[in-house]
Amino acid sequence: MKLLGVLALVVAYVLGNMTFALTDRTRISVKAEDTLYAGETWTVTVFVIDAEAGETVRATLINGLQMLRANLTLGDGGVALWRIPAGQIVQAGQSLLILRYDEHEIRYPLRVLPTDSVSADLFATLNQLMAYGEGETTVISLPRDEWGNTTAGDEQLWLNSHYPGGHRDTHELTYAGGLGWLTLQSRGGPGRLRLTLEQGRIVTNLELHQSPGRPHDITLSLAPGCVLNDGRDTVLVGATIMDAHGNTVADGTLVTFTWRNGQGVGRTVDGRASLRLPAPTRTGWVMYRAAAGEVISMPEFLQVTQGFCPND
Amino acid sequence: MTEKARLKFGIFVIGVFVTVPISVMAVSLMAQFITHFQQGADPASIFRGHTLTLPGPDQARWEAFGADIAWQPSRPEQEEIITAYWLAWEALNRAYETGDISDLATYWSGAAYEHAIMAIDPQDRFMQTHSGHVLHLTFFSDDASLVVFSDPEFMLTRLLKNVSVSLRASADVIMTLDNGFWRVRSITLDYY
Repeated sequence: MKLLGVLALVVAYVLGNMTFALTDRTRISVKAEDTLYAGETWTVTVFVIDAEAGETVRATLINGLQMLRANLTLGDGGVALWRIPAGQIVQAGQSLLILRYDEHEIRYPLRVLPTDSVSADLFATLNQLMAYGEGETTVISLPRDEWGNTTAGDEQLWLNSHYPGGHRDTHELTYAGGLGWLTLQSRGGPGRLRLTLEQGRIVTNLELHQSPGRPHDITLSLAPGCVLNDGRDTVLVGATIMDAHGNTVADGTLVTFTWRNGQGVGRTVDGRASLRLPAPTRTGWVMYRAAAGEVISMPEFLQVTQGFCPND
Repeated sequence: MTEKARLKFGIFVIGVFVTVPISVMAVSLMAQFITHFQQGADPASIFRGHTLTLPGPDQARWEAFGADIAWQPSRPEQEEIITAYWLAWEALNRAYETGDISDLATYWSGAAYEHAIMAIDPQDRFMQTHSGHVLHLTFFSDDASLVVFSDPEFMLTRLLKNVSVSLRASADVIMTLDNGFWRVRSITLDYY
């Protein structure tokens, strides 16, 4: 009998707790849309069983980094309304509404969707790449809606490329985590590479530059080819640098000139670099060379004579 | 020695005992003053005196680098990124607690900075702690200036009017390297 009594007490205790838990969970209920677009109005109706008019429900909406809070006053029947006006719930993602009445709490998720893209940042990791398919860069796009949210990525991102020489191409960007990207290889010769990003109604432009290749051929010249040994002449040493495709190298390419007991440097403009030097005074032949990158020119020889130059 | 001479000597001795320590203190203070302006600064200390300390593994760690991701950050780059991400949350928590937004620009930029500013209400302050960040790399640019990662399950705890609220959250994050320092440029949060 005693054992039965104890067992009855235990069962009653457990059943009592279960009933209380179920009641606790259903004490507060919510009626609201569970999805909306960023910036829209949201209205929440809160129902609290067995609550009296005038009592308060504490409401907290955690949206992105921000938090909206309100104390809702229950009306007759334990009902309260929370209307959040447009322009407040603006951060995309899954927000969370937390309602507290006394010690009871419920949580209600709200999915906030980004609106359509209104802008897109477009940039490249390299603004200048080598032409002829020898260079590549990563083109990156960050589309945004009017509230600064990354867009859903439902729309495709298309990149139109207009290469020097007129060739055109279209690529689709890979999209993940709010960012679209594409590894783009150069094509054709040196010149402007114009890119246009299209996403829905958004059009964004970016211009890159395809530069000539590395030095491949150097043509060295001396003017004049013969001087007197009186030290009153000057010599113009010039080098024309071309890449492997016959185009002049990029402006500013460093060229090193060397001669007997001497060295000098110049930088190319339109593929040409030059130095004007005082002529040597020791009679004989003086060898001149030019180097750029890993390429060295064939030598050119300056004749230094005592009497007269052959073509005088 | 006459009385007068003895007196003068006594004053001299007392003067020495007083002057020497004062001189030493003055030189030491001057040296500290000069040294303070000779110390170099890390980029963050331009805005605040922060130390870039790597967070502990229970606070934040890298977990996944997809084999199909073309470019991956080196070990020092991983440490810089995760430290900056951790400090971005720390700065946000300080702003929530104090209402002072002046530090946010050190760690937040672009749209994320605008969202962070919008979230700070000096009239409605609260405390927040964070932990359990586990980063999964999505994208890393070849010039090492942009990174995208997910932080799929971390914990936030807020103290709102003496009521503690625990939140599970996940984030999709874009960070960019601006002026030598990583900043959060975009963050999308999901709460559970």
